Amino acid sequence: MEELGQSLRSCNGIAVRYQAADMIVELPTGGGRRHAVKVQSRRLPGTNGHVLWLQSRAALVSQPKIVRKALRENGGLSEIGFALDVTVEPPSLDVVCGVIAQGVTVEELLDALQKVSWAASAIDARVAAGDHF
Amino acid sequence: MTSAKAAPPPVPVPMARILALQPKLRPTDLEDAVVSTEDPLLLETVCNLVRIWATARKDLPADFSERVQVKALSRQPLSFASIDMETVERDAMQVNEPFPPGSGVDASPWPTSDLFMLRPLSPPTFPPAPQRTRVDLPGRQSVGVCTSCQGAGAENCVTCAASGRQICGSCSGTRQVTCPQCGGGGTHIGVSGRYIQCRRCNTRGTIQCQNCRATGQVTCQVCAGRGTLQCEVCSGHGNLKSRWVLNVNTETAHEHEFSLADPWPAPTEQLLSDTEVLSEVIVRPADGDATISAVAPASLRSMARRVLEKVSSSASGEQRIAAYRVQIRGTYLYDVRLEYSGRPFTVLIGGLRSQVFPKSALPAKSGALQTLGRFFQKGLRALATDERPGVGSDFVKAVSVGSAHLTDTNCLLPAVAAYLRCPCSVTGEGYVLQVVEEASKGSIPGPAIPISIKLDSEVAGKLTLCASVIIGDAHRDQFPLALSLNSKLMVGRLAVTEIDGVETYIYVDRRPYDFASAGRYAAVLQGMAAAVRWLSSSKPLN
Repeated sequence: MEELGQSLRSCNGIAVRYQAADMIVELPTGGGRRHAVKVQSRRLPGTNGHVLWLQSRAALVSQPKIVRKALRENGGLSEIGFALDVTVEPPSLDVVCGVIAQGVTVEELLDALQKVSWAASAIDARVAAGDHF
Repeated sequence: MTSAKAAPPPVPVPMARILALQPKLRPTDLEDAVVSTEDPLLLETVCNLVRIWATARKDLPADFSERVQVKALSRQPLSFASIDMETVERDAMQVNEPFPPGSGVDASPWPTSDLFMLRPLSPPTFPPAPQRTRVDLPGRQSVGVCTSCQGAGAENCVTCAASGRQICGSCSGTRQVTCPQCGGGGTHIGVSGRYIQCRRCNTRGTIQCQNCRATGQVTCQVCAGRGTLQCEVCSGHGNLKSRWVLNVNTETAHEHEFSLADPWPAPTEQLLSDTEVLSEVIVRPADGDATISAVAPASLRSMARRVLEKVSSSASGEQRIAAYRVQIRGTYLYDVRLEYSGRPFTVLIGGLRSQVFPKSALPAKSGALQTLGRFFQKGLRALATDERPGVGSDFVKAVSVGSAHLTDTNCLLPAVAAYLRCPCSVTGEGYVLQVVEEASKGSIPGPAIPISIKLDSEVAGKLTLCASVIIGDAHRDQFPLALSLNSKLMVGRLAVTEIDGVETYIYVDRRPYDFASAGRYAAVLQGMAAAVRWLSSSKPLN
């Protein structure tokens, strides 16, 4: 993961820092905004391989209908999905994505990071503006 | 320009239903107008289909499959009103049968002479070929003396004229047969080599017939010497029972009409049997018109009524119309504008098996010199650009034998199945893989998890692999828990979707088709299978 972090650092506008075993990648998401994505290496159950687990805070969940909408959106077209982090109060809606670590390229990881950060940032902006998710 | 030689008949490529081209239609979809589409999944699928179709045609240029391009695509529904009419013809017939003493006779009169009232019509079956059946009719039975034996129950043996004896077959009644020793000559060659007088017949040339013991007659073998035979008509009972049977002839007449918003020259007769039945109803003659309104969309009702009238008029006077089977059938018909070597031409694609029909003249097969030139050009292009256009022969073969989906040009999923050593079946939308657990030492592998993989296109038009497993009914009070579980699932995510109007949890993973090597996608599916096993064993959502 450190090698990937080094490669990401060389990309324009991307900041990488480490927090315990996690890698925090901050990416520009347009309009002067930046969004952080946590990257963890996790074992993939049922296999001998690992997954790069991408997670980014999108919004705090104050209404149950956000949960329902997120679950419905999860069935949609995108590669990324939504998860609910119940370890914080109020719970947080996260944008998540699992990238197979075996044979992953920097381009593929960067593509996934951009998708996660853009989606999380867009929801964050909409909710902050009082719009519905 | 067409080829001077007669084109060999094309070998059809058997094609399963491709849901991207032929999604499930509703009757109201048949009212759609012509629409053009730029859906990349449709364009890619149609292009692959044309390429595979072209590989089976020997009348097309050798590099056609590689160089053909889809320029435009539009579609419209092709709808059929198809009506089968079952007609029944009946006649009653008297049959005589042996009447053993003591058996019953139903002499009650019939309540009506109308044979269709006497016995109700059977449920319609619409037999494809005329069908003849015979059923017993109770009542109107009578008993009479057998007219064949006049009640005697037996008849004189014709062979022996009731004498019980017949002429001997060996001597023909002469009582003498030719001597087997001398052959009738009276002399034969002795051991000395000279002719000697026959001692067996005393030179008479004949001996007494041993078969009839020189009587000229033997016991009649037909009646065994009795002189009479049991009457075959009444089986020896002397009486006959007369009863009635109903002969029923059932036939099916068929009529259909088709409808197209724009009259493309589609081979509709070939497509009729290759369409999907969108609605069907069995109609009794009395309520035909009312039922058509219920089964056919507004734009097809007048056509369905017309077909009904046409088929009804084909019934003859003796036939009674039992029922109509009204079907509204449909398929999407595609008009595909193609280009090969700068020349445009068009094909139509339609039917559940995605049949391809040329709409305009196809490019002619080129001469040997031109073909050589094209191969040379192709070689140069491949060297210069590493370009590999068209479809590979392995892909064509895999699609033809039904082991690869038309959209899976890299045969990725069969390779994944081989990697995981699990069964893989092709469906209309993609595949179903039965993913088995990797066996570890001392543990019993769990049951195989069926994962459906749909080949779809995302918003940006990139081909996507969408793997999904249905988990079960979703309950609203568990939604927060379900969404929080997604933090624990390494690949894919839990989602809620409506299946047949019921909110259902599905476990879904989407990845770009280009991402995947067989090994990497196998890891995704193994991860999904492990997650499904965990969800079903620890039941967090129950």
